[in-house]
Amino acid sequence: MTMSGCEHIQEYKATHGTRPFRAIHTFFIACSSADARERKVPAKSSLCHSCHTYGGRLHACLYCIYFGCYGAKHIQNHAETTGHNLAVDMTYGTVYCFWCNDYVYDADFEEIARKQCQKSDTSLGLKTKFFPWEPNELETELLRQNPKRRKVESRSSVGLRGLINLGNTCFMNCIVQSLIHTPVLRDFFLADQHICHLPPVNAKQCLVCEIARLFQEFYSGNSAPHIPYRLLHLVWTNARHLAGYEQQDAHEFLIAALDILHRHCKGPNGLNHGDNPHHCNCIIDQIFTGGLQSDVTCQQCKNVSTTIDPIWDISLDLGPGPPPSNGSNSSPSSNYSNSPGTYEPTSLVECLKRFTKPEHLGSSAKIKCGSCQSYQESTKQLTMKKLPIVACFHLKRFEHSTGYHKKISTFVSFPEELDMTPFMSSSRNNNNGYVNQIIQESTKSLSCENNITDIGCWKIFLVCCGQPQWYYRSRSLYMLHIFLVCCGQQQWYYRSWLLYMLHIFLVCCGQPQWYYRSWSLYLLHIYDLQIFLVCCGQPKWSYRSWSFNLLHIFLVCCGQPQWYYRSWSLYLLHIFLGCCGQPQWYYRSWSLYLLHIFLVCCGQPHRYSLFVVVNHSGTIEVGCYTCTCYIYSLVAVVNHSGTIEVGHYTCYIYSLFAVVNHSGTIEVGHYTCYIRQHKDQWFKCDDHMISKAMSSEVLNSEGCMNMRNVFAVLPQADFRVWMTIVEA
Amino acid sequence: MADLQERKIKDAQMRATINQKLVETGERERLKELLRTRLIECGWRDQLKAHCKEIVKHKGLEHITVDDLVSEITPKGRALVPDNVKKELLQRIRTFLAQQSNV
Repeated sequence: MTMSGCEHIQEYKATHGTRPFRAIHTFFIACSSADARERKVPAKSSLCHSCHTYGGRLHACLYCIYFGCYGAKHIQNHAETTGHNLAVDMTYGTVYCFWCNDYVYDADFEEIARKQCQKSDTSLGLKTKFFPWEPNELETELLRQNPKRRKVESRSSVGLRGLINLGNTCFMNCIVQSLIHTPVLRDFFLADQHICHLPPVNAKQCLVCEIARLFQEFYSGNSAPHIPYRLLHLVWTNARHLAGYEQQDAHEFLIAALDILHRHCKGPNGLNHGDNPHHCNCIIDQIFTGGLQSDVTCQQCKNVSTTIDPIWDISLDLGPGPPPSNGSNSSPSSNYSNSPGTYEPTSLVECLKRFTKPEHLGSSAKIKCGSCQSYQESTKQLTMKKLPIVACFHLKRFEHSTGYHKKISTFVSFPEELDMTPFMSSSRNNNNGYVNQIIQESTKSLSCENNITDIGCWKIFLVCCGQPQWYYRSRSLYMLHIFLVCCGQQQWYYRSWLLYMLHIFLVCCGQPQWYYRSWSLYLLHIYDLQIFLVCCGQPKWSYRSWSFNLLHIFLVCCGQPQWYYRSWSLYLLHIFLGCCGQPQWYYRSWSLYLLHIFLVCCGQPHRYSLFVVVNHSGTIEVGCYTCTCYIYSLVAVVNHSGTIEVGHYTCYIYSLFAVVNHSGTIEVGHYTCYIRQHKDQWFKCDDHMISKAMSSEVLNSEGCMNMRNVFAVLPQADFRVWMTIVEA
Repeated sequence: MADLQERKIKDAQMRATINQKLVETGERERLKELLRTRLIECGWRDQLKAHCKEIVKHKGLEHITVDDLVSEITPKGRALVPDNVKKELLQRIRTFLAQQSNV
């Protein structure tokens, strides 16, 4: 694509300069001034002057003020009749020359267009556009010197190489094969993203550089098996406990390797490393680190103490043990109870269920509760707080007890796609199971087709830090579920009110309980209902005067969070929630279609006036009201620890790409692995032998470790980013 | 007959109004950006690029015109857009309209 345009453009530039083009571009094509946009300059004027439509590839004449569409030949006619041969395509900003009969690209015009587009994007709050890669001078030279090209098609075997076994190194080979085929890691290394921080004299010691070299070997096109002796040596020097020619545990190797890579990513001085893994930005942490949340609930005061640990893999127990709990058989206040009989999980999902069930720590393991200051029995529950991009599941097949080592060979099935949603912290609730049930119900009803008048099902989860928790859920135009749960302290539930029937459950836990139940507008007080709620000891709560049309609820909690509800009609609901001293939450003017939430985090500089739209797919879209820009597909999830995480809607569905198997006994065994190439081709890697495999074979294999990648199943999934914006 | 005409006119008017609102608020640009991203992600752009190359090879580099390309790839392009992308955009437009009708 030559940037010198044509002689007609050069003539034009000589006489008219670039100003007309710039003007047209600024106002109509990529409007960067919010003022102009508001004055509806592009909106009202971007019409064809001949037929007054706005479609059909509008072009703007560069000589005079005329817009014409291309499809209906208006701009062509204009060019013929007036002799104005240059026109700008108003969709893309490219210049068409009618005498050359083609789009012509002039360097000056392109530069103007590019700058304008950038300006316009910034003013709209959009990120920089994606531009495909273009080689720079050095790269062009290299490309010319090396004319041989290899095309990677969907059936090509580039990237597959065997690894020679250097003496019981099959465990290492399998892990290396899995890492080489980890999509995000592969992209990182093939894009030369690693910058080695080690001084040149130590360059050979950097494991990350070695892995980069390994990638180059694998993708070089050479299909002979590779001998990873340098890698082995580096591993031995950096992880002494793995040195030697004995058979090692693949999982141990993985963790050691990730650890070394993590350390080497930041160099010996540990720039940006710190002790806090949360702040590390290296590729290993970005890809593999997930957060495991451990909630310990004191049985006496129900206080929950939460810790979040970073983990690189999820180790699941196998073998007989107590069965997992499911929502239906637990009552709100009881904990999981050990039922007799053994139960052996036979699928990955069952293992995960067992992993995340609440576990009753017996009377021999009493812990001191921070809030009631006494030694109490407690329950502990593990859930996933943050999912890693690549999840590694480790099935603990090797049991090491005093006196014996055993391998558990039960077949554990695993799916090709795994949905982690039920195991996330956000799915869990203090009162175990109840909210989970609601989530399940709602996802069923979310599958219905929707049009603008049928709002269907909204799901809003709002949890306020440490303190009162709020869940909102609205079912239909007629039914509104609001769960207001105040954790630890007073608990409030609002449930299912129709225009005709209103159930409000107000439960104040630990203290005198108040229940309001099943009153319809026909029963009790239709026009005037006074409810006084007093919460014992401290906060004063009062409900006031609600009529058929208007509901005033004032909740004032003195000294503590203050909650106000005000004036809601059948159509409009104003809820003011102020939480003094803590993050303040205001809900305002939500109609049946839209929920406006003003989130103000007091004490912080941020002030967001956001509007939130909850849509059917379960995502909440948060847009900023004042600057009218959208923050796309965000999910505002406010969680137990009090932070609001605003992140891209992350799909929790994982797709399998590597399985590591161990065959044989614990003393004498062999590791092999299956890896996925491209989208649907599986290969078995047995040291230096690579053979094609069927996916059925993979799923039926024993599997002691499998690695999964977050796969963009839903287009909304953008697994690269997860931002934490507001912190309580 | 007249009803149909009237409805067509009303439809066109409605479309124009919606389009205006979209441009005014800058929403149109954002939606375009979103669409671009999604189409790149799902491989649509690459598919179409490959198709273009084929057409150029077929017709010959000397004789190809923009109009040729446009007329050939437009129907294919439209057909290849995955359903979930369409749904997502439709959802966004609806959301936008809902918000507009309230403000």
